[in-house]
Amino acid sequence: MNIVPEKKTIPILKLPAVPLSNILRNFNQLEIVDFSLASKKCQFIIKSIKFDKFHIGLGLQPKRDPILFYWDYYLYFEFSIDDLKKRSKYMNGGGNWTQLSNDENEMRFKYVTVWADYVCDLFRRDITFLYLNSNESLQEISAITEWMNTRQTCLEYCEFSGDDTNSDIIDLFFEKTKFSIQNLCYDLRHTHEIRQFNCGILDLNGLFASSSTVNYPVNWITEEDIITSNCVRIVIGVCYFNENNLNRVLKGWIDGNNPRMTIFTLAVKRLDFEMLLDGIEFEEKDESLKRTFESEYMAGKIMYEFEGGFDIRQKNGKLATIQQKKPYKNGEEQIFWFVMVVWPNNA
Amino acid sequence: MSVEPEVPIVQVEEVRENPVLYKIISSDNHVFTISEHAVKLSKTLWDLITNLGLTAENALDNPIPVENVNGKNMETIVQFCERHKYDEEEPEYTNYIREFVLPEWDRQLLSIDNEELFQLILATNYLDIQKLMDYCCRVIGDMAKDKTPEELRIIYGIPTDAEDDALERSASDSPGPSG
Repeated sequence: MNIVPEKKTIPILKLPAVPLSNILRNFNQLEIVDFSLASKKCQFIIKSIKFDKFHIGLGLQPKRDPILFYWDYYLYFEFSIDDLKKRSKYMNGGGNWTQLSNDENEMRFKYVTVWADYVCDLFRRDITFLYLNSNESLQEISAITEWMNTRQTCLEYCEFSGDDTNSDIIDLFFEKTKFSIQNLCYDLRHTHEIRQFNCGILDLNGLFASSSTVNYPVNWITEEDIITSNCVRIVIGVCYFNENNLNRVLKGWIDGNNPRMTIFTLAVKRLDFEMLLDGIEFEEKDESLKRTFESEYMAGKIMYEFEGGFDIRQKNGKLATIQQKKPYKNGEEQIFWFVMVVWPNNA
Repeated sequence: MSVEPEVPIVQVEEVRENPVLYKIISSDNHVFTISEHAVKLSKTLWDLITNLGLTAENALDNPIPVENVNGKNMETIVQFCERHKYDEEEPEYTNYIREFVLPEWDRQLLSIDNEELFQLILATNYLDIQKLMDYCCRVIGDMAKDKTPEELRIIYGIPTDAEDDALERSASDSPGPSG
C-alpha cells in the first residue's frame, strides 16, 4: 500500500540528534507513542530523550480518559479508550484481546494497564496520579492494587471519586497497598450513609476529603484518624466533628502529635470556642490583627487570612492560630470553615 | 582571504543605522552579503566573525567560506535571518509545550520539497540558528498529524524492524577495515 508518495519521505532518523530531538518535541504524546510503534529503533530513540516536567495519570473513573498527561499538575493531554483500542494491534504481541475476558470492565482494565505500562516505560516515569472509582468492584480494585504494587513504590496522588461508594473496596485497597501515597483525596458523591472505612495510618502531604452531598457528611475520617496521622495538610469538607473531637485533636497537637501539620481545616457547625479550648492555653488576638498564611501546594497556593483568632502553642514552641471563618453554606443550618494553621518559624 | 565571486552577489537591504555587512561564500561559491544583526542569528557564523576579528572596516574584504552549505540553502538562510534580525528574543521553550505559531511568511519559505528541507535542516544545524531550526522541525513535526505508525514509517523513511535487523546482519557480516 503506497500511502504517501516516495518523494514525500524525509528520513529523520538520519538527522543528527539535536534536530531529531527537536522534531520529536513537536509531537503530542499520542504522536510520540505512534512514532515509537513504527519500529524498535524509534522506541529506543524516544526512550533516550529526556522529557521532564510532565506527569502521567491513570484514570479508572467512568468519566475520565484512561491515560492522562499533566504539565506542572495541569492536565494537557489525554488518551481516550478509543485511542487505545485503535492501537490495540500493536500491544499484547498483536494477540487477540477478546480472549482475555468477556467482561467489558475487565477488558477496559486490561487495555488501560497494558498501555499504562507501555507509556510509563516509554517516557521512563511512574504513574503520578491515580484516579479510582469509589464504587469499583472488589475484583477490579484488587487487580489494580496488585498491579500498582508490582509497578512502583510510591504514588504522588490517589483519588477516590464516584456517585456511589463501596466502603469494602476502600478497605481492600488500603489493606493490599504496598506503595506509599503522598496525597489522598476523597471526592465522594453518595446519596446514602456509607460505612466508615479503614484507610490505615494517614502519613501524607495532603489529605482532602469531601462529600458533595451535605446530607451525608464525611464520616469516614475520625478524630482518631487525625490524632494518629502525620499529614502536612488536612482539608475536610462538611463533617461531624464537634467541639469535643476538635479539643482532643488540638490537645494532641500541643502534646506533639501531627508533627508535620501546617494546615488543618474542616467544615463544621458553629463551634463554641469556650468548649473547644477547654483545658488549652491560648491567646485571643484582637480582630484588628490581620495575618495571612500562604502555602504552596502542587499547582497552586493555599492561602488563609486571619482577623484576630486564637493562638495556641505546641510544647516544642510551634505557634498555631485557629479561627472559625465565614459560613460555608447558608441554609437551615449554617456550616463554617474551622481553620488551624501552624506558622513557619514559630512566628 | 580573497575569493572572486562566480555568480552575482545576492544583495540584501540594510537599514541605515547599521551599515555593517559581511560576505559569506557557500560551498558552490555563491557569495552572499548579510547584515550584522542577521548574521548574529547564526551562533556558528557569529563566533567565527568574532574569532576572526572582523570589523565594519574589513568585513567585506574578508568573505567567510562556509563549505557545508550550498548556495540554495544559504539563500534561504540569509533571507530568514534578514527577516528575523530584529525579532525580540523569545523566551526559551519549555521542554514539552511548544506553543509558538509558525508565521505564514516562514511557512511559505519552508514550502520546499523534502530533500531540500532535509538539507536545510543539516545546514541550519551546522550554522546553529535556533529559530530556523525550530521552524523547520515544526514543519517536519506537523507531517505526523493524524498518521498511523505505518504512515509515519513511510513519511519519515523509517525501516521496519526486519529491515533494521537485516541491515545490522549485513553490517556484521561485511569485513571490517582490516578484513
